[in-house]
Amino acid sequence: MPGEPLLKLESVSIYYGNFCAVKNVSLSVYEGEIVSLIGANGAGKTTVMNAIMGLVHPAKGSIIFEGKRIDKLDTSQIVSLGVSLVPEGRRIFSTLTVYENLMAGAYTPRARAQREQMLKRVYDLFPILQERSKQLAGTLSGGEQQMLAIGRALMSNPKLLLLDEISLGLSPIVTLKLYDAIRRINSEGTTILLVEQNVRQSLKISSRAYILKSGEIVLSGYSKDLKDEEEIKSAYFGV
Amino acid sequence: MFRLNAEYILLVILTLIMALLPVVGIGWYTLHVLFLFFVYLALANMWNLLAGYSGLVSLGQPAFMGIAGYTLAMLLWFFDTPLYIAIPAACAAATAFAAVLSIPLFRMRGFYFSIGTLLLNEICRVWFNWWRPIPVPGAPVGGGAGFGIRSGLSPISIYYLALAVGIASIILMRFILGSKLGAGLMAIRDNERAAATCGIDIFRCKLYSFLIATFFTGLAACVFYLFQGHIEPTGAFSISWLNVMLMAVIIGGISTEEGPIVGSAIVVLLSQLLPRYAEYSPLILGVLLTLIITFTPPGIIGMMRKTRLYNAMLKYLSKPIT
Repeated sequence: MPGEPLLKLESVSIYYGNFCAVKNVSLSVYEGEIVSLIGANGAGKTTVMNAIMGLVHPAKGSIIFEGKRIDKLDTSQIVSLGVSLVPEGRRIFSTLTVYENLMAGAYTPRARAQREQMLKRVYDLFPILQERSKQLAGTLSGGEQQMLAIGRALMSNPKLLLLDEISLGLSPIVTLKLYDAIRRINSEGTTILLVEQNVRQSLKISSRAYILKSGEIVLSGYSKDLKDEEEIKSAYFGV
Repeated sequence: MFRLNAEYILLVILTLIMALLPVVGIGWYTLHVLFLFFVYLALANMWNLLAGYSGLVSLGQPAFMGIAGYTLAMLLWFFDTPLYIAIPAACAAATAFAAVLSIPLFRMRGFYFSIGTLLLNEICRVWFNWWRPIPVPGAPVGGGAGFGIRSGLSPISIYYLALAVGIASIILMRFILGSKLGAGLMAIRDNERAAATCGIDIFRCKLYSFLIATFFTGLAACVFYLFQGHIEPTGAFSISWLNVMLMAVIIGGISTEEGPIVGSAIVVLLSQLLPRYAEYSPLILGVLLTLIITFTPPGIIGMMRKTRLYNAMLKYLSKPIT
């Protein structure tokens, strides 16, 4: 990989009280890549995502985005720098309309300036959102809510998009659709870090992957080489 | 972006009618009831901004009202400050007090925030009560014994002040809800974590809302104390103010713009009717609140919004006129 990575975690450890959720995790994401972070329930995937967003702060180690340390910053500052998260379980604003949800995604000054363009891009990506723009977000179907959550995250025009378990609870057809959209977002220039439980799906879409087990990275490499690794199975089923 | 619609025309017409009432010689009693309505309206609107739109169920607003009232009283008593300076200064004092307190208060969330703010009223009451009277020849005034407030304003001018503050609070709400701050607040209310990941600075949004609401609550308090003519700790920091705000917002409809207007009208009417049945009034209020919370938690407006007729009316009223 040439040059400096867009995002770099250097031996990051995160504690919840005395419990160490993430131990000494290092990973890099280069511009233009799709990288997936794979692991079973409770492996610490979401914690890593939340740490990048500044929702939790690591006890040790550093998180560097575009050469700048971000692990001490507030979430809103990190969003302004160009990182955006699609949170686990969607978390849309259910009493606001679809349009208002998208506008909330363009909250930072940088995003506000180009929100018309971004809105067009999101509607282009998910035409159903335009059809439903005046509907309350809580009345959308699960798949549409997930599209809205992705659209909302895109509204800030992020350089790095974090996706946390976007296929959770969705039908295979909807999941495929979402993954097509993600490929398109990536091909339009957004770098993506993806968290998934669905190993096959995420190895298929990503160029590289990190396997997380009980808060530690046990394996990493090119996705195409990882497909048959025994380690993945052991990361899931334990030994 | 302002667009004229039937709502604004209605607001202007009603305001003009209210403004003309004293001129056409309406009775003092009616004027007094309307005065209370406008004060309550401003208080209820600000409490709705906090509890209904910002997720800040602050029970400490009476404390800020008392601080504003006391500042006003003292500026007038000791320095003969002109009103146009004393009133903004009083509101600013309450807001500054809220700003300092927001540091510890905002570390608490949800119920803890409510309990923490509730205690403010009692702390202020005790604090001001212990303030020994400053000896002034002739009258036991100062500190814990209270101050007289001599503004030299006629009751009709005070009525106009209340009218202005009440209507301003409606316009302020419309302005805030349409602003970037309002969008941020509603997002935070729906889901704090998701709001943070949208780049919304949660602390700052809540702080702004808290300070704006406190400033305007202080303003309503100033108008009320100008009318009442004196202030003392037990009344100033009384949680009966809280009753007014909570009942107006909950009966009318929390998180709606019209709710506090309807709610304030009902609370004013109740406050005039119930004293005749003094021994039953707590019972009547209790039953009323229980009924509202049981059968229509979103209040009267929440209930009406489920009907087609009301929605058709809203749609008609908010249609832009070109």
